Amino acid sequence: MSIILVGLNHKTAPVEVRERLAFNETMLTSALRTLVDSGSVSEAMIVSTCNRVEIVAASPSDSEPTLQQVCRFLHEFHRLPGLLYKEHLYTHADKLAVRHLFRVAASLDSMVLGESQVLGQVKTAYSKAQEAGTLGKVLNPLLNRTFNVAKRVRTETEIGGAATSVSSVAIELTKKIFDRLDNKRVLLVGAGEMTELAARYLVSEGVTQFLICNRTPERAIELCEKFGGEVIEFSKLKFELPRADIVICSTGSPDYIITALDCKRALEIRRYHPIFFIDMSVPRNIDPAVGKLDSIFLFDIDDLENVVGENLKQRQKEADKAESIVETEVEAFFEKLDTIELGPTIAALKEHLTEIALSEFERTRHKLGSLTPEQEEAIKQHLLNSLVNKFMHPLITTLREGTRSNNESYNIIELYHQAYDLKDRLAGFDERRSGTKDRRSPIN
Amino acid sequence: MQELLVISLAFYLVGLIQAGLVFFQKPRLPFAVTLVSSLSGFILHTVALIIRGKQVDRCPIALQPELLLFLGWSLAAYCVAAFIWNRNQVLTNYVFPLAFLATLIGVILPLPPVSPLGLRVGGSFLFPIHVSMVIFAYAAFFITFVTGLIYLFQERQLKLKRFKAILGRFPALDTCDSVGYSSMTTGFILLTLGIVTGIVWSGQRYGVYWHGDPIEIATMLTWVNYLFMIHYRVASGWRGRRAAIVSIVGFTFIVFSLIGLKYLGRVHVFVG
Repeated sequence: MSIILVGLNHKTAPVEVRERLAFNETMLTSALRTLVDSGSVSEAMIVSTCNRVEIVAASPSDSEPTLQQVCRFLHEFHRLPGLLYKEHLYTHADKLAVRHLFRVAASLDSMVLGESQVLGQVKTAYSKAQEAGTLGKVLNPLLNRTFNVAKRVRTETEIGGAATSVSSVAIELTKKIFDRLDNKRVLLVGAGEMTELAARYLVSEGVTQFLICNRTPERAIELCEKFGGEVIEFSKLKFELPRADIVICSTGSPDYIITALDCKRALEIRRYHPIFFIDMSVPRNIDPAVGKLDSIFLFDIDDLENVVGENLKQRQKEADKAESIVETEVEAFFEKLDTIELGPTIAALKEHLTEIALSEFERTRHKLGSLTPEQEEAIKQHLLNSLVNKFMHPLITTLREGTRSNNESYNIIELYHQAYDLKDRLAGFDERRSGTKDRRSPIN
Repeated sequence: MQELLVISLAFYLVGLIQAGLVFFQKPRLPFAVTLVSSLSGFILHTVALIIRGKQVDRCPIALQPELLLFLGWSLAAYCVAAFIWNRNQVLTNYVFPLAFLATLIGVILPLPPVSPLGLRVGGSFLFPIHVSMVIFAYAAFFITFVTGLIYLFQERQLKLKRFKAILGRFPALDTCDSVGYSSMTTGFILLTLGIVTGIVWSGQRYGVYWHGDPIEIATMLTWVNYLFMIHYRVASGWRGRRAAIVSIVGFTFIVFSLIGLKYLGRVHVFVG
């Protein structure tokens, strides 16, 4: 039994390749069925997102040919000639495959380290495969383990902790100043992409009141229609300043639009209720002296990007912890898998040996003379049982080790030698045999 | 009574653990757990104070440990009230540890079984009102002080653009400000009542309304300080940093009066 993984991601393949090898939702079920029905694998699951395609499969045969077949399937299914994109694909087998899957789900392989979407995508892929009926006794426990690993990584490390985009950092800082955002009024100066993005974030945080100010009113009106709010004439900006709790500024203006004097007046009118300024423009549009005023908090694009950088560094640090969690989980998974695989064999063997022992006991029963029922029971329960267990134990241990090391030159004689430590005994035989020869020789 | 206090301390410990969890940014205990435990602790604490009052046959707020126990009780009272009122966790996370501490010290300090001093103070109901109002006010000012400290610390970090230390750990600036302001007004009203009852009581008992001892002066300074702050807030909207600074200054006066009570106790009128 082997577990394999074939895939490509944003690191190995450009978007032109990723889009040609991606599976959309409608083709996913048929793809899974085709793959399993082809007979090359017994179980399969496909994770397909904009950043990656991963095919995870289990197969009763060896990993190497299976990997080849799955690569070929990936091309054939998308009607691509030969193995056109082979160099963009990575292939992993067994431990490496499991580790890769764990890392993907734990967002250690993501473009933005620690982002939380990918786990959801793996979960969707899992339920798709479940619907298609292509999961079985290997992939089912594997995926459950994967979700556990991802959860462990989330809770035990802070990999998903700090914000990693300028807009989300801005929102976090806003929340340091204001407890609630839903009753705050936001002034957008400039109606470009940056302010629009920030506005969208704020709307998702419950902000409903916007004041929008732009040199050309048309664009402001457009944004106004999207988010609601009032349009403000550019020349009246400073008079409207006192009404704003949060000011987001991003224009192409070469000089300061908002000065410290404007803010001082605004504060007096506001009775010193704080104002939070974000200046995303380069060159800056808000006089840095504004930030020195009491009750005013001013951050420019560099400040925000510094935070983003810090947070990413922090995530990188946490990623190391996460990697070691993944490592231990991979080991734990394979140990569990072996017992699942060997379980029926062990049970059958035990049953068989117990039957032999019992029948031998019955056969020689009359030679043992009269036994009380207690004695008979003790022999059956303890003596025979422990004999069977003692006999089986080394065999099981060696079997487990053998399957774990997964070497292909599986030698049954070696197995017995190892299990019962027969090497020394065999050497003893050899000695005895040569010893008898020696004794005979003088007679001859 | 001592046993009750110990049990209530055990309940308060839950609040303390919660505070630690919040500070170290770990997953918090469920709201219901902290509410129920702090409420139970508070009720037991109340019962213990009542029992003590019956034992000594007077208002149990006169000796050092008694004052501390009452201070702890007051702080806990504000926390529980804030909890029930608006599920405000700010108070509980930063004030509860001190409620716990005050109560703990109150429990540890040896408590004379009966009042050694003639503390029944002329049977006047004014004296216990005076003391409890003042302590209750101090507890409120203490909350203002704590929120002021958190405000100043965070404001400074934000101005210096050092975000790492603060993100997530502390409540938002405007929460600090509004909690601080409401506890300050509460404290101010209580302190006013406390001072008035004290003056009237002193007049009844000694015929003198104002003794001019250091503790009286410190208390008056405290009162004037907060009056000044409330005035400027109402009149010209002082808030945030300035409010925080004034609340810290005000609290130093309080600390002085509390320490003064221990070392200059003989000077303040009620013991005499």
